Amino acid sequence: MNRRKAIQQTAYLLGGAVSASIITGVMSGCQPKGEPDWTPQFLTKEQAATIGEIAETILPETDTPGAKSLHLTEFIDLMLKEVFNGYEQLQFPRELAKFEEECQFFTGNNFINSSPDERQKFLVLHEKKELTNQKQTGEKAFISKIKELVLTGYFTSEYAITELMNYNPIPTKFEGCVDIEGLAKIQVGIEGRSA
Amino acid sequence: MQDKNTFDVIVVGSGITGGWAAKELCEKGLKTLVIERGRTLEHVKDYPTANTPIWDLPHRNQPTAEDRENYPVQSTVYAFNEGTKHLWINDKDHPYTTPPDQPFNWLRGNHVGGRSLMWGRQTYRWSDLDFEANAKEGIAVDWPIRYKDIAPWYSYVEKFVGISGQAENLAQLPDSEFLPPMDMFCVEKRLKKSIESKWAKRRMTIGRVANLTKGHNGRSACQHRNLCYRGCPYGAYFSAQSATLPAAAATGNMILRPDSMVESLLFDKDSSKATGVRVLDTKTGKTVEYKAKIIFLCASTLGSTQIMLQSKSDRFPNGFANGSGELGHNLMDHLFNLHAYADFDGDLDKYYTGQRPNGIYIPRFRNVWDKHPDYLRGFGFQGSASREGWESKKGQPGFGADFKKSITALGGWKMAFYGFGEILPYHDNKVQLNPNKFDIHGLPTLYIETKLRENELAMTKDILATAEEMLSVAGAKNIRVWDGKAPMGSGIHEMGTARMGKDPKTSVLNKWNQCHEAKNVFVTDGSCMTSASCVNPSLTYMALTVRAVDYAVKELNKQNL
Repeated sequence: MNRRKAIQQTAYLLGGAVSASIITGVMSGCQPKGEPDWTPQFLTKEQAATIGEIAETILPETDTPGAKSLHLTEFIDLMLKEVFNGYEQLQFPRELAKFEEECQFFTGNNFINSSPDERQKFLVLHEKKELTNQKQTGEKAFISKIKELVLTGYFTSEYAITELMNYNPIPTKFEGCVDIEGLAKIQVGIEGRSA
Repeated sequence: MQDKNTFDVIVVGSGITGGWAAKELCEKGLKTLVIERGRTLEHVKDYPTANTPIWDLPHRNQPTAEDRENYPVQSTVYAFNEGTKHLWINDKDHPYTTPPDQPFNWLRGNHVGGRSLMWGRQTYRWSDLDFEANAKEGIAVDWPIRYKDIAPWYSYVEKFVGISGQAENLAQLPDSEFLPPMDMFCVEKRLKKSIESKWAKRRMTIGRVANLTKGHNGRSACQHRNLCYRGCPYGAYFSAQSATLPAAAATGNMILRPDSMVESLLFDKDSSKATGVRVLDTKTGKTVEYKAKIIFLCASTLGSTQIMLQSKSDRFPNGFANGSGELGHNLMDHLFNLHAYADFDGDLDKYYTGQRPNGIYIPRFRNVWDKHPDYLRGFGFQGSASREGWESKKGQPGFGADFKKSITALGGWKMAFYGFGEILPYHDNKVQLNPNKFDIHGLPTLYIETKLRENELAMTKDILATAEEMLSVAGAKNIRVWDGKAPMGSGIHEMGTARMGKDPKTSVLNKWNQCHEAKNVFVTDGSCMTSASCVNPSLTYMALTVRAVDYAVKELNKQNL
């Protein structure tokens, strides 16, 4: 696919103005206007919708933005398309299909058509089982991959860095051991690393 | 100067040593041509990502699949990511080969300033423990110099560079001229106390680093953003761009010619002197010859050796000044990717401000006062503490509103140690020219053969064991050690292949970094190294360069060159 287009789309989802207005819109109770013009480049539309719901279940909208407000599905799609290697790209839809099978078995429906409550319950049990498997096989579980993508997208977003964490782009000095007063926010620099 | 292609001196390479050679030669009044194979790269102007926050990088700083394809070797480096990839060489355009079961990671840039832009900035002096080792142990050949020969040049370089650190008065790690030291994290202070009380001779100090803790020589102090490897708009760490090249340029005596690869040195056998260099202009594809009285090879370890291997003639059928047959041999690096991690309880009411571009340092304590039964030489540790942030939350179980709330909580303290071990010089760790494989400009490529051997494997075990032990004694929890099984070259301290020595039969260079067989050619980058020590080598390269320039110019003035 066209890299320039990917960057344009990324600029859309990373653009400060867009984030701010969507956040404001959500915070004041407005719903985002249905699906934006974005078309997934790696996932199918159905897969993207499902991933979107999984991401939102991991990080729902509360009094702070969730996965959808922060356009994490777009981020995940871009990562799958451009960062994942060929083998990982082949595996992903198969793993998603298997995930859906398990969900169907547990809730009686696929993920999108399960209720929020059922989704939550399923994911908790599913993750527990998968983490145990992961320990034995050493291979990263599908749900772990999704979560990692969601959390990376979340924590490297302008919103999370500047609002939820202590963004310190030009610290000037370094002090290695200082008293904290009250609850400290994670300190993050320009590179988005907290440690 | 008769014509525009004739200079007093030619310096090949504009990096950490080339920049110094240029500065010193130009300041002594010599018209100096600095030839750089890579592209131009200007201080500040050409640091496009110096201020780019992670959310403005399309892939949130991760290399893409395409990057890993174009940079299969470079993309393995910790310092390679979306924000820095433009500073690393394109492996596809500039390949090299190794035996299939003996990988080597050759990590480098391809631009003015070279790795002085991306380096880790750790700077440590050698001591006679290092210089005497080969002779005492009957390994390779003796260094033709000792600490007293280089000590004044260490001082000279350090005063210009600006090194932050703490004087410790250790025989095996001489102090430098220091700017104020950086601070330690809480957990590091605890660890230091624990180590030094349990082992009276061990020391944990703050890293000695070429970042400025106060304004120095017109360069501003470090802002503690820890983004050095993207290029620093404050000039707060030492690089050719921030310090030596501007000084050279200020004299009006330097011509800098990027996009120019030296194909070979030109040699006149009647006078036994090099006369100049043949250069391929990589932009025009044209070849041009430059003449000079003196040549300084500062093209990096394998860069300089490759040029010498390419410079065959009747006089030098095996490569330039290679009567000894040692050119290309005795390639070394440091043991690398040997880690230990642990968690520490307590100090939850303490945090830190700023991102420190430096770590702690534990100087060598093995084979210093007593002899280890399993191996020769030794290692040091770098490392750093931190409080767990968001990165560790990626693997945390849970979903939903409560999970979301919990993941922005600041985590506990943890510590990481990284061992750097000395690799011995082995004749069979070597490079030669590939007969049939060429780079994108049609120039030869290297075939690199290296192996870690018994001494290195025994040392590796002890590195991991001592790291674990020190953490355990300090009360750390959840200690994990990791042997990354890194191929040689991964330390990015590749050195040797044109070693210094007393005897022309067993070395390429004499005690002044002069080719034994061509007195007007000096080689002062890592290729000159006769052994590797365990400390970061760049400070020693810089000191040797400045010392060699001083000698070369004195000889020139005495009309000996």
